Amino acid sequence: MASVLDRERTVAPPGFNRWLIPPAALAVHLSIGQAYATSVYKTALVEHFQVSQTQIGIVFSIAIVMLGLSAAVMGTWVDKNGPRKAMATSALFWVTGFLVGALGIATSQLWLLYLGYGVIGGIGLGIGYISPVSTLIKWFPDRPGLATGMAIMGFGGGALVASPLSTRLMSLYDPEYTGAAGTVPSGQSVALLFVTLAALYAVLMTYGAATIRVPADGWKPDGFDPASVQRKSMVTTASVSANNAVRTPQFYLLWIVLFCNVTAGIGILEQASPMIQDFFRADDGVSTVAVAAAGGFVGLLSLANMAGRFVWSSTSDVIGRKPMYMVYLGVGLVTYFLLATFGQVSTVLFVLFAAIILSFYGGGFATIPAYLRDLFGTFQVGAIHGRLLTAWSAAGIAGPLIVNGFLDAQGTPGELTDAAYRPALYTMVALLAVGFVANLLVRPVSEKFHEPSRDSGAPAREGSGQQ
Amino acid sequence: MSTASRSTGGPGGGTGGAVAGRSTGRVVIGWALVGIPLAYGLVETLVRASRLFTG
Repeated sequence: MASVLDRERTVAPPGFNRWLIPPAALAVHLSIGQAYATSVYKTALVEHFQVSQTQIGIVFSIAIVMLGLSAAVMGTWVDKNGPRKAMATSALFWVTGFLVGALGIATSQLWLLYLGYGVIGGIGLGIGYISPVSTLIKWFPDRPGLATGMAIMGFGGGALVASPLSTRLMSLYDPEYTGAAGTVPSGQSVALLFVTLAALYAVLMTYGAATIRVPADGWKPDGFDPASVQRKSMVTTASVSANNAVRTPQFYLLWIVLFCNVTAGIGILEQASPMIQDFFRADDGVSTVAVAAAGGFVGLLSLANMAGRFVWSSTSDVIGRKPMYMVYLGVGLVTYFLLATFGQVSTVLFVLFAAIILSFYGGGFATIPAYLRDLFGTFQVGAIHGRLLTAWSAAGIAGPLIVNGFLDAQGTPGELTDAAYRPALYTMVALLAVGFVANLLVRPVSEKFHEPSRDSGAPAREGSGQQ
Repeated sequence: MSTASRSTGGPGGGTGGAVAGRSTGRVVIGWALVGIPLAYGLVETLVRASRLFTG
């Protein structure tokens, strides 16, 4: 029996406005983007469970690893069943994750928090992240970078919304918590926050699932000439299946590209607040950057990260995907080197360099779906994207390991200087160089990987509109 | 160009004024639903970021 969630029930009727699709995708990405706002209640959970920072940090790590794994495993399912069923499933997991996590906090069972927010919520993250991507690409064949940039910008924006909202809600549920430095919200207020967020995200994600549509066969935007895109040398008109894509060198080159770009970005994100304080110390060892200003620096990086997702991904529609990644990795490499070598000269320069690097970090995330579309076609691009996101999970482990590994060897936190960061930062420069070379090696996919039977499938359906 | 490509094409690609009007209304509501929280987050973050220069 056909369900309202099935792909065939989501085909857009005549007159459907494609500009309804980006807000539907944003509704999902704004919700799951909360994952990057966990630092708001981290200290509260440490005190509530009476455990170490690392034990609470594991919750976030589990969620990111599950994101990569579920995106990789469920990608084909998402492509086959369509965006509505995928978004509804994502909402179910994401909301259930919050509720189970809230139960874990309320009953002081840490394993329930791991299971709820980490495992169940993480699965919702992975499915939700890839669910609108291939649909957006099909609705915006003329501007795929802009379309995916809008959605993936939402993932960055999710933390911007959830962070201040969580602080306000926790101060509402725990009157003793003011949000000021030195006050910590109670565990019960975090549990109530989780329940509230579950309700809000259920509404927002349901809107996304209810609104999303796939274009009818043969649809193309008014005035769009597919030949204008197909003329570009790095843009294929063929189809490559997810199973075949992972047999191509292009997939692994892009995996390296994404891994290097994300690891380099995490290198700064991981340590942003202490880093700016350590870079600027007076002769007596006291930082000249106040804690509040360091918090402002983190906020500025969040904005750069989010803006980069939209601006650079849209730019890639004009200059092409490969040149865009040459900018991310090449200019990023030079900027990283300047930050490591001359960052301590002035806070303005330091902030400028870091903001540029973080904008490239966001741009790298947002542009990769369009790069995959160019190389492998729209057929199963969601599944291929899902498998590529394992690079994110790997970078989520490698980035902090590199930074913390070097810093631990350099001295005690709170007493580090700019020199202590150089080995870690130069390692990131080398990593970006590896990514730059990997991107240079990307060529169009060999015809032997193309799907002969699918040539009359997705791409042909798109092409049929011009005949 | 196929019929489908014309009938569903482009922003506000409806076949009549009523359809187009309803479609535009849904687009405005959709963007407001995600745009308002996003604007809230942006303003809060800008205020926080300003402490870099004032804090």
